[in-house]
Amino acid sequence: MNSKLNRILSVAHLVLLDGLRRHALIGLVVLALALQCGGLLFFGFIPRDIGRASSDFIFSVSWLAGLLFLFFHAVQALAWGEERRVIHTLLARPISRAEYVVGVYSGLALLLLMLNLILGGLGWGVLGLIQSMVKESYFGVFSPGFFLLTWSGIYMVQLAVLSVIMLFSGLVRGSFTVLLMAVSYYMTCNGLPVVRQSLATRTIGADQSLFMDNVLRGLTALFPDFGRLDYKLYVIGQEAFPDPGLLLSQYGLLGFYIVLALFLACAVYGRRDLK
Amino acid sequence: MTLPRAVSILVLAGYLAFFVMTERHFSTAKLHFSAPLPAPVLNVALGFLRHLGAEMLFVKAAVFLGAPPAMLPPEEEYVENLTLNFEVLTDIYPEFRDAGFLAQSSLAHISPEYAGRVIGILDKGIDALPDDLYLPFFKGFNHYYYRGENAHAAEIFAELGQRPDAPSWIGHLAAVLSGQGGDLYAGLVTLQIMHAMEEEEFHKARYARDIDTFQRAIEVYEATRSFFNTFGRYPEELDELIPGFIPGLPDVGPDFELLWIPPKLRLVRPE
Amino acid sequence: MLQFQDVWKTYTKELGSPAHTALKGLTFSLGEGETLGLIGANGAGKSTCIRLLMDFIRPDRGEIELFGQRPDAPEVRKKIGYLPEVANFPANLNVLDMLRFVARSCGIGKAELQERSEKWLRLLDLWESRKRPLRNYSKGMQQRANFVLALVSDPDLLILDEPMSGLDPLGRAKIIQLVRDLKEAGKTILFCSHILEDVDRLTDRILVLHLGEKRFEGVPADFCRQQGRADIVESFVSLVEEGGGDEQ
Repeated sequence: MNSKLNRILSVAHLVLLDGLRRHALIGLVVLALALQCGGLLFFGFIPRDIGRASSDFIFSVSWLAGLLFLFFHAVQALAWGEERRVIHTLLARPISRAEYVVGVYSGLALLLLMLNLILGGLGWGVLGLIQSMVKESYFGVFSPGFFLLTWSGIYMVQLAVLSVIMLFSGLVRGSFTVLLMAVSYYMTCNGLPVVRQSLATRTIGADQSLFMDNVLRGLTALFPDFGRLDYKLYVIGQEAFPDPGLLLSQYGLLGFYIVLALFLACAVYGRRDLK
Repeated sequence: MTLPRAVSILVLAGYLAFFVMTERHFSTAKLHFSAPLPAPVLNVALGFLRHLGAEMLFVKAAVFLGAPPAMLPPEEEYVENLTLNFEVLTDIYPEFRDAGFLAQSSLAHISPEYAGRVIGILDKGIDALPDDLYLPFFKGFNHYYYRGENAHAAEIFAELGQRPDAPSWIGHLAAVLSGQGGDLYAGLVTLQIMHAMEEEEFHKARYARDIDTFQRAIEVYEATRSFFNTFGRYPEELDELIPGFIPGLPDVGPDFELLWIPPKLRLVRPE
Repeated sequence: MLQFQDVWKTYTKELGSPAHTALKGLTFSLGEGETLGLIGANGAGKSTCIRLLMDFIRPDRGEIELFGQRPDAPEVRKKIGYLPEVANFPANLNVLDMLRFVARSCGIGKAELQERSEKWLRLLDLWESRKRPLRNYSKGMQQRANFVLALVSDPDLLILDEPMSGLDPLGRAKIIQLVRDLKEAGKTILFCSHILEDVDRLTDRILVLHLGEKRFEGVPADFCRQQGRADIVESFVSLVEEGGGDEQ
């Protein structure tokens, strides 16, 4: 077990080092940091709901940076690994395919965590600064607990998207194809709750909607509603504390989703030929 | 000078010429306010970023409305898109209060129809932020001032006035509007509740005075009902009630006067 | 040590390329301390053999055994030093990062790694540039770096896929000497090259593949005799011409 973990960590360490030294990623962090500082300008456009708008801005920038990381670094790191046969260099060592999948995933997840920690730290500072600059009625509450909860929600969703990217990278070849699939997946996850809501408001009480509703509910198992882990409205303290049971179940659900996607990715990588 | 260098200078000069021409056009042109994409499309496209997207729509509207008046196009050219903008942004982010404030200040005065659409915009905010006092106040104000729906406005203010954090004058306003809308009993009940709850002597005395006025108006109203029951029609003028139904018209001044528009008797502020 | 038993491999049809059988019932073996040269024209099945050994691809039929185990057992690769034809590394790492990775995955201790790394990096003239990103290495340097990575775990079996690829004459001479030394040290070597003179010089036995089939297995001298030619190059050309096929 120890040697298995050691092998996984050795791959993760390699992926982490490669990412940390990638100039494009350093550029992404700098860009995101600059954008976060832009929050100090953005709140000038908002007359009253300054706390809300500033917190939305900070979290949105971080989310955007995470998406760019996922779609452009993670997708490339995986697909190029195979296109350029880096995977051969790694799998020529005593590393199983499953260990490779988990190792690469862990390395990318660690990189994402570091990105979130850097942006989270600065975001905290920017929000604190904005709060000190405006009247209490415009930005009264800034809850550190909900700040961390929101960030954990963001990170959890990013991990879920990453696990699906791992799966797609095993199923299809080529970074562009994986990118297209990942973007389509993300859009479907965004779109499904909108369709469900629209159907629910149009056909309240209609029997024929029950079947469609069940189909859409089933699809949500494949394409989760990531909006459920969006807690940024709580940071400014204008919402009641979410039900702890529901909170746990949301995290549990996505946790199992990630494990399942990784399990499938391991199975796919384990069965297929590497070209 | 070599040919490639000459060509590159020509191309650069051409680009600059077109740039200046285009910029001149845009700097003198009137501003234009484009319609937003539908809310479901924005929700799908933006996902987690939808809240920031909604705030961007707000900033777009605020910047447009803040432009020098000379640069703004005629109101009828942008008002529909501006309204849509607020409707879409509150569909995406009903919790964002500023949208209600800006919609109220920029659209409600245009026409009763737009005041109605602002009420729709405010309703989303009211549902999302049940503790907010301003949004329902704007809604009540629109019903009263821009749409002439006094009874509806009185209902909203009466409900608002019952909140512990509401200033006392809101309840009074509700009562006054009830009177103005012809719902004298509702106004009386609101005033009686406020009188019972008020601790400050000055306000208590004022409410007592108004209760007295409303009670006198109600006597006249009951007389109009009796007149109707007797003759099968309402009196054309309140003087017809004297002396058969009431001995004389009561004094409701100086704060109010009676306005008889059959079948409703209203207590209105003097002009 | 290494055994192929009636191994078949067909690459499935993909968009733009038809299905293609790369190996047709290949059987061969390699004993401990032996050096086997795998030769054949492009598309003969050499790379397929190596990929099957490294478990990059899986056979359709037949059995492959390495150290008495199937190639998909990761532990097997602890005993293998693999040198790919073209070196491919994560873009932003240096050779020391890769060496640490190999050591960690193979369970080599820190002191041992330091000692072995320095030995091989100095021997292959990479010591001075050990901290430079691998993407900035020349092709020859990358090939030598790959050699270091293949040798640092002190493997029992070396699988060398075109080891001279990208090397200048000096580098080539150095590698030839290195392979000789490894052979003398008792390592088992599977050697795959287009440069038939090198194969002739370095291997005990050769395995000639053509269009996925085994055409000859034995010592080079027997191959020349079989083809009635003076040297291995002429013999190989003669075999390919009489085989009536070329690359697929």
